[in-house]
Amino acid sequence: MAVYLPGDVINEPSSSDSSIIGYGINLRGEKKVVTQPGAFRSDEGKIWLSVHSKRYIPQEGDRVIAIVTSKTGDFFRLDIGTAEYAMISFTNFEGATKRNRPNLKTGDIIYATVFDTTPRTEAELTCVDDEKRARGMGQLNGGYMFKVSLNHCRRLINPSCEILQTMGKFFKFEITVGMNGRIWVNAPTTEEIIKIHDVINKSEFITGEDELISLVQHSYTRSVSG
Amino acid sequence: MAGRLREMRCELSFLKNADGSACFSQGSTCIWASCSGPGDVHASKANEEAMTLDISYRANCGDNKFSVLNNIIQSTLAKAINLELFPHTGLVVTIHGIQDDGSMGAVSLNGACFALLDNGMPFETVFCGVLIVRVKDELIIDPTAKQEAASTGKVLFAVCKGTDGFPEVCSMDVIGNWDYLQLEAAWSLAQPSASAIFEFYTSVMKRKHSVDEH
Repeated sequence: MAVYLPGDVINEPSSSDSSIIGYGINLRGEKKVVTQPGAFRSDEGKIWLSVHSKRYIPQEGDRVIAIVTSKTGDFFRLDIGTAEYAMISFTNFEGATKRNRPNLKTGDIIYATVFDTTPRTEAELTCVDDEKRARGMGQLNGGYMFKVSLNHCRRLINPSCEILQTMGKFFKFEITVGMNGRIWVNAPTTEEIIKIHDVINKSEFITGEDELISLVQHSYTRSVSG
Repeated sequence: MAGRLREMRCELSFLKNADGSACFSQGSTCIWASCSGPGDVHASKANEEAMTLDISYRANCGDNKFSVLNNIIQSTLAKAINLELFPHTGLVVTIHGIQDDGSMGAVSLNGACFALLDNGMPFETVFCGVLIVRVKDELIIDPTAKQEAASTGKVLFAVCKGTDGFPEVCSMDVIGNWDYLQLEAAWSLAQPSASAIFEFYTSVMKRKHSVDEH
């Protein structure tokens, strides 16, 4: 695995024929210059860097978990973990019309897609896709939300990652992972939520499968009360 | 000429609440560095065109309202980061001197770069600091506090990685009487050390990313 730091020039053989340049890489003339520290990845003509970070910078198309902070006119103001607040229009919810407004209060949590990140303006979010369908987006009721690093979020939702599968063998739970480093979980009891939160936090630096199973097993059997 | 750096050690993500942080030591000089941002900035400090940098170096004793090191760290960071990418935001970089055994300026710059790398935000190039002192017409690189006290001249290079991968001077801070030839000699002494520090950056970042290999 090759790790690049800002200012390095990428000279990978597999990157010469790639046409799509992704995250962390800038084109300057013919040169591919790295702008963020990360591990090099390539797949079917795409190249990008996997960056380890805790601070979210909005990108179009990302699914994020947002907290409603206030209502202003036709918009909700949302906290998505960036420097500035993001906005979502009343009409960008499934089934919402000008008269039938979504019932959101300050402090509510929603799962939404970033669709506009024009510089110098607030990022704009939406809870519906192009067909005006929610497809899992919208308000998240109950449960518990916490923060982990952005790379851990990406790792959790990677199909080849075993963490969620292994946890699913022991716990019954619902999970939503936002690309802004926020995770929302819901389980039948508070005790289980605490245990799931523990496993997710502790699994960040665990790579071996056996180690992972013993971690989940240990959390499953231990008692959190008292 | 003594041309060796002291042993470097680094632990990334050292402070839990900062976006990026590092505990970095060179010999027995040790600092904690943290870097948070791009984040919210007070309206009076906000700049519509660029990111606001808030740099502070804090020693472990004495009055810490202002340190001379702030200037060189600020100017180096301003060159290394493309500030116009994030207008109306702020970046807070704090460096705590934990133990001072010489070369604090150089160690602070290296720590600041580690904190920035750990943060993962976009910037133009990595940078490092190399301090060289002159003791009785002999140049010493990365001096201890004793050597620094006995010196007749100090030069702190803030070094960036150039486009061709070789070290380039980004800013420097010179104290004492230096002529051109001596400065040239100091710079040629600093170059291999800067390359060694850049290699150390890569090895530490490799260790941080090793969790992704599976």
